[in-house]
Amino acid sequence: MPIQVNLDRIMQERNISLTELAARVDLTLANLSILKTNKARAIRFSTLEALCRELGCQPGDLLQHADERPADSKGASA
Amino acid sequence: MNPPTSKVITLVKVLRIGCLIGEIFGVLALLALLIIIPFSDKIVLQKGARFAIYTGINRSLNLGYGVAFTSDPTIPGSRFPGSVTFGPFRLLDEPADKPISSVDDHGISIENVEGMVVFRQPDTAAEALSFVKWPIVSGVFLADLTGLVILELFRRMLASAERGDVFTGENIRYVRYVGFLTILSGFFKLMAAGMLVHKMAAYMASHLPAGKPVLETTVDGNLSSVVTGLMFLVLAEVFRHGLALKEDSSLTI
Repeated sequence: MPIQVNLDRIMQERNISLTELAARVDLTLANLSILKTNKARAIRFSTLEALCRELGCQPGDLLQHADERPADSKGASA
Repeated sequence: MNPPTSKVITLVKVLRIGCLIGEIFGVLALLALLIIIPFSDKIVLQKGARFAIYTGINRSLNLGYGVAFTSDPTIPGSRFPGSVTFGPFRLLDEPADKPISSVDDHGISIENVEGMVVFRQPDTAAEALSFVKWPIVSGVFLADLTGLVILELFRRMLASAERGDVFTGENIRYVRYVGFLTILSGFFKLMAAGMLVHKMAAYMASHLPAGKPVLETTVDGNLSSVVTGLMFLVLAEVFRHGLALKEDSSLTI
């Protein structure tokens, strides 16, 4: 998926463990792990809000658009 | 996904046990068929049992057979040991001077009389039975076998419902199989019933004196199994959509 969740990097910067963050945003460890490993299909605003609150960041810091298309197909599909 | 309530689980469990019991009886019926039928004409010859073979009951696509074992011919319900019953046949062209069933005084008559043909002589009965036994064996065997597989698939689906996980790739496949098998069993039944009617008619034609009364029997193919099968195929698509929704929902954090 071209949208990537930078939870891993921000958690490292804030020096917070997955278990602690899960407890603070009221998510199960399994669900937070799905988010962290980029397997999630969608994220609820409530989850995004809790993450931003606990990590002290903006949604844009957590999400990033990474273009995965090969260079030659960019022009073709435009 | 919400966990199923205990009431639903109890219902599902009862249905699953019902499927299991059905499977056990189905296997026993198949075994009985396979054990008894090859020796059926000998049993009839020795007056050990009374056989009845039915097809096209109530103009529908049905076939069945019944065996009544007898040790004492005086017991009610075990009459005519060593006889074979075929049918139902419709009696056509009733003789005008001697109608089978009419009440002339009141202008009421019963028409299109249907009835079973009974061969009471053990020799003739055994011959008649050996003439038709393989169509009935193949028809009942194939129809029962597909029915058994369908029951087993239902049982597996119910087991997954009990676990609270209905929308799985496996269940989609099972529903699809049930659809195809339902259609297939309809064709099996039609083929077997057609063959059976043909054999019965051929035997009757060669053993009844020419002329009246004229007996007729038919098997009407109906599309109910095809329609039911198609409904299951549609249901499989619904399941596929349900699985996609479930995946979306479980991967929304």
